[in-house]
Amino acid sequence: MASESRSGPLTETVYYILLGLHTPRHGYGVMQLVDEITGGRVNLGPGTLYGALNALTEKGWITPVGGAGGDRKKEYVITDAGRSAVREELERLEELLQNGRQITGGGSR
Amino acid sequence: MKRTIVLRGYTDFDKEERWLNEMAAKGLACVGWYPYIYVFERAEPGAWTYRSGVLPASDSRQYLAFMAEAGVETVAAFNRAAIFRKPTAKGPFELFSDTESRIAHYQSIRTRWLWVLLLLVVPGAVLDTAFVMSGWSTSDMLPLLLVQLAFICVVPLQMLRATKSIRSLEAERLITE
Repeated sequence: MASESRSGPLTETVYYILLGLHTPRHGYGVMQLVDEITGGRVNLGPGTLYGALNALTEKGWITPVGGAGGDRKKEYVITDAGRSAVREELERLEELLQNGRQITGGGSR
Repeated sequence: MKRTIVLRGYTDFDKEERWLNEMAAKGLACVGWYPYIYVFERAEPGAWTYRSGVLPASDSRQYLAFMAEAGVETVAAFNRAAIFRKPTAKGPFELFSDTESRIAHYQSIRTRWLWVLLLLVVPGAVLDTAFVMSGWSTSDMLPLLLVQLAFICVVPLQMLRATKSIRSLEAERLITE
């Protein structure tokens, strides 16, 4: 099942993996980056990350770099389909924030 | 180093994990496991965090390589069940960080039990039939039947337990990720 058009919001896990793979990284690199940019709030579990990387590869949103190399550390990078999924998600998040701020009157700059 | 061997069997991954962490808190770190045999070594109390997991059916070697890459040590893996550990000093250690993957975890536990059931019941029935045909009486067969019955009772119980965990996670997923 390659590159279907998306439906519905991305999970936080998927969102941060896609952000992390704007630069090629291996799994542990993604874990470290996400930990860092969320100030330790999002701590991706290796089991969760492993499953998500496989699912995203299958969907065609990310792809392994440098071919399949057995047990060697596998690096991944985001694809065009992945980038457009992130763009759509950003629009959705903007809308969420805008509506939230407007209605609660809170958090406005 | 002096090793301690504990003979024990767990059918529930969560309970095993809890026990391993209790042992680790007392300064006994699990360094090996074979079915019903746990090997411990002395370690600083609480130095390790343990997790019990199920390996994926198709690519378990890749999964283990991935764990190693993420700084997780595989203590033992047998029959798709695995014990992992990570130094507590290196931060919190959970195999799963979202509801979706926790649900998938319990689903794979349930599927694994389903296989156990199929692999026990079918050969078991064939075996029983063979004994009956060769003229064994019910009393001759009683020990065998009791063992089979015990196994057959454990499996649905564990499947039910996994289902309960799935249900409660699914309820949680309605509100949070």
